[in-house]
Amino acid sequence: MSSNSKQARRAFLRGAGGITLGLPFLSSLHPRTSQAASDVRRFVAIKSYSTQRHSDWYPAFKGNGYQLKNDAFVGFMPIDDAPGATRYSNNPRADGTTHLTKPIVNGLPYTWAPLSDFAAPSISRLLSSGYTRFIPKMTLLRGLDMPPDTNHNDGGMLGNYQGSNSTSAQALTPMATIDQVLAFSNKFYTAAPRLRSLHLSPGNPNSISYTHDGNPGGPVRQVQARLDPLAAYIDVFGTEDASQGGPSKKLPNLNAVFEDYRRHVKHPRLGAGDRQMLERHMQFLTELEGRVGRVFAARCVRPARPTSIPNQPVGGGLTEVDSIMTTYDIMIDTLVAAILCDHTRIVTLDMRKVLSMTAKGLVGWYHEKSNPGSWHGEAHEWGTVNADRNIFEINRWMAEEVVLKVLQKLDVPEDGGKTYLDNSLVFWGNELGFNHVNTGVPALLVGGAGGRFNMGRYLDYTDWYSRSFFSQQGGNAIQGLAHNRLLVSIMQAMGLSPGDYERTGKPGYGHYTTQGKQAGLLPVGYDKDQGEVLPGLFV
Amino acid sequence: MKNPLQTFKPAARAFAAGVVFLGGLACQGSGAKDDAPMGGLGGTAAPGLPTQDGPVYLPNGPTCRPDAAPLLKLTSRQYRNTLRDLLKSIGAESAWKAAEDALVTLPPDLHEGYRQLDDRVAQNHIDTYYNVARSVADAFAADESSTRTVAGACAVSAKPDADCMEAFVEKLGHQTFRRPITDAERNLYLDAAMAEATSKDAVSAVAFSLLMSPPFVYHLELGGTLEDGEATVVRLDAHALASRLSYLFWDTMPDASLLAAADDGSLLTPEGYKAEVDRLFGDSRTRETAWDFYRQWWELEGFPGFSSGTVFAAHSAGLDFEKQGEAHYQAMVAEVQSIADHFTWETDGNVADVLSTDRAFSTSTILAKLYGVEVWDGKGTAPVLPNRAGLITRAATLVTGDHKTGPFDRGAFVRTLMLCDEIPSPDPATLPPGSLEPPAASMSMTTRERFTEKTQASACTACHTHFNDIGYLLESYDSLGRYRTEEKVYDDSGKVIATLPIDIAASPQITSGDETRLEGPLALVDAVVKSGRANTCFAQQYFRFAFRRLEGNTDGCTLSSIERALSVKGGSLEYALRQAAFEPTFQWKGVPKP
Repeated sequence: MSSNSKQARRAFLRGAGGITLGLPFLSSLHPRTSQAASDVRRFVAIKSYSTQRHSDWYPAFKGNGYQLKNDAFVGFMPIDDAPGATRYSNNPRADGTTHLTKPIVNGLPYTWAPLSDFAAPSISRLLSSGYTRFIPKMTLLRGLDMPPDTNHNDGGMLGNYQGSNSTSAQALTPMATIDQVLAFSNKFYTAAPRLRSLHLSPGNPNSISYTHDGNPGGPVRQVQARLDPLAAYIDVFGTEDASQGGPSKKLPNLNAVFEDYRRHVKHPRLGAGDRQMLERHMQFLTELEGRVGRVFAARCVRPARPTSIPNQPVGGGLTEVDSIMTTYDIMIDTLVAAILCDHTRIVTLDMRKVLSMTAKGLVGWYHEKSNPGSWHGEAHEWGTVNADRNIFEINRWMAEEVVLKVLQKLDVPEDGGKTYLDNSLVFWGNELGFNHVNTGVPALLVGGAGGRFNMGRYLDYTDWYSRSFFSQQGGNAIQGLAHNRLLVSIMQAMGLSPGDYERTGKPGYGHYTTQGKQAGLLPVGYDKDQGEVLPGLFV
Repeated sequence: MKNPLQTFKPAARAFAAGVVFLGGLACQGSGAKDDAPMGGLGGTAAPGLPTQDGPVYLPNGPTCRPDAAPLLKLTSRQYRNTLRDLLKSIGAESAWKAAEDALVTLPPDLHEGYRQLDDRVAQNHIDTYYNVARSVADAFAADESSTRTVAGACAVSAKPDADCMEAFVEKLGHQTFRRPITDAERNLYLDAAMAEATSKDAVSAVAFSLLMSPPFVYHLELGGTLEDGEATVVRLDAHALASRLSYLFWDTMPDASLLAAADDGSLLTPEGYKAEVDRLFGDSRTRETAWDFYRQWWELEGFPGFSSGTVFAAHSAGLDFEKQGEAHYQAMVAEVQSIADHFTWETDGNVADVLSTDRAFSTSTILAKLYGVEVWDGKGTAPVLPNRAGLITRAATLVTGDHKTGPFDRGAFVRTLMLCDEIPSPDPATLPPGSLEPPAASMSMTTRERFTEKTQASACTACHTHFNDIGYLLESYDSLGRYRTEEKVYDDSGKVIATLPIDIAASPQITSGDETRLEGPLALVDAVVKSGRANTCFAQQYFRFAFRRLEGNTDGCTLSSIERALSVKGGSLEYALRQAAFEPTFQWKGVPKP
């Protein structure tokens, strides 16, 4: 295809001719520039669901000057603790975790400790000894709050709470999640990638990602994730059976195809919505054209082409367990290969369909909010021995069989004595905090985004001496900092400036409040310092 | 969207009773089955347009005409079927294997109603179209034999021959676009072919480009002529009509016979049209598509599976759900399919039969065990299934996946899918905290009592009165669909710690304002059937499926006609499914606003 025809097509897409009104200016249409390897950053977001017990996630170490909150807060009961709040003891902060005292910033209530202080025997119940080798590359975050009443969202972890089954969250305007802000940023991708982002999810077609398709402020839709490992593989490597590094066959010419769409867009019997659909189609064609046929990193090793594993419902015994395990293994290999080959720098992995060890052995779980018998159902049985054990075992399986494997496979040499993991940011986040509450949602960061983040730390943003709205086993509803500030931090670590993502006339990114009907029941005020990065995170 | 049936229902009833009857016009009712195309295809009448003063058919629209139809791409199923049949039609079955691999990335169709209405287009679609087109194009050019098969002997020469390529563009274009290509299209794709250095690459370029083009990927329907005096109603041309028929009944492209009938114009004659409808409708693929309609209507897809928990294991003890969970659900759905098939294809059944049959159509051993009956051997008349009526009392629509029933879900199923009433969304500002969480278990309260207590706040009752009592009448079935008179309460270990009696009486208000108190699920089904509202609902649902859009203000006439196909003398589900093709509005297209 001649460069002239491409130029002409782009001129058309930018609005020439008066028939592409409303079509976004694609960042993919920016002139391509080379990107130094040292500037390459990647973002991998991994999400788990339902309740998260703080006592599973965080260190429970005492000694060497550390004490548990159980001891640190004996007799401490601020007078403004919520009257009648549900407590299991007179010491609501006694959650069995280590109390930190070193301030992140003098004068502010946020605290930290080196993660290495908790290396033996393991950082926490969940972050087992397998994680110990990653301590220098890892930061564990506590005290990040999502807005109340946003339970069971798909995209909240990455910035979009709209679409949850909470009615007040449904009233929010949907926002593109930060992975998509990055995906269409010409600071993140200085040249069109082969694939802007890869979305994986055994068992759940609705990904954790929402996109504006490169049109900030335009319509937002939920990205569909790949359930089948073969589909994910084809996303990354295409269908051709070529040698590694790029396609071997002659690439087809899209000129006639574009011309046909161009003619149809003008047809007088098309409605405005029809026209927009065809224009969107052309936009995606342009995006595709920009990435096919490129030759990629010499180190790229394409994994074996997998066989298809169609999605199956949970239940039905060993076969299902096998298929879940195999699906994750292939998807992890594809994820890693996609990054090592530089076919994409953004991946989301949704862990809605998982396994855990139970008394019966390894069994499958599916997080389905409308099915109370599922993993979600276990979360609703909060406090029962079986449910607590099952929740822990589900999280343990994810920690050992999914997240840890991703870290291990990315931690291979790249350039300058660094590994691919060093130049990435792997973010293991969650849908919820303890007991279906959005307060104190655990987060783990690994990799450091090419040295931009301080790693090897345990950062706690909970203001432990402020009001406890209520507490239950393994968790406390005490105000921390807005989860959105982590999102802002990530985007800045990936090279973006506030002007690249702020759209609403306010600082920061994402929804900071819902309708506040749970004011008095949960912390709600997060307007302060919205646009600021998290303290203690950046180098 | 507001339910337009609620707006025009009185008129529709009057219409169905024969109050409005204008012979020879669209939307008329003869009161008996009539195979002739309605709307006078090829005839002299102006279909759907009144010949007497003033609006006749609809109180909410001046005439009977189709509302605007949005542009839609082929659904994933249609795309797959179409590609397969296209390759088969040109003798290129071998290319199907390569394409099939690439199809794995085609996103699922998503729509709250029917997949056919999914109007999203995303990068994944375009990427898949690209990979499929490349795979097929590569397969066409893989060797001389393949190239010769699809493009003729002339296409294996070293350099592309213009006449040869033109013939190939026309041949493949005709199949791919489901109509003859235009001169402009021929020139466009011929130029693409002749720009290639080798004949092999030229064949590949044509195949790739045609498979990526809008007429292949979309239901374009841009041809046809405006109806006299109409600015927005187009009478479809023969090829667009052929495609509508084919996708309605087979969910794929027209076959050679149908395309030929469109090519020679015979499809636009009443006899030719009827012959093709009969042929298509009589094919087994129509049964598959009809089941696809029922399956989507009754929401029998996307079941998340059965619980792995201890309590569910106790609840389902002896039924082997742990190892055969998927088989159980498949048997439940297969039972419903047997009911649908029986009353659609084996007898002149109706919606009422599907809802009220007490017969055990399933031959599944595991389902019989679940129901506690002897398994039917499939011979003779199906035996009676005690304490059951039709669809809404069968396991497939009752099952929840764990040990707890879902009375709200069950009630909403009947209210929204059997009666087609809309349940308004709650105002978030008025909901008490925790409203969306299920009520906690109790040793002393039944599910009904707990759910009633949960929704007794005034903020809840306005909506919940629409479906709570329907769900309570179905509490005679447990979460697996087993009939029961008592509800078991389990502790965390799966031990039964209480047994509570089921209250079988409730006022479901099937018809608004009817406070009649009914006893048990069979009385509920009887009330739904006697209300006649399920027929109206069928019309709405099948309209959406068949016309690939939501009904608009001017579609009431068509909805009435579909409903009437169930209720006229000799009317049936089969007749109604077929008769949609004879609706005048099926043969028209409403042009959307530019």
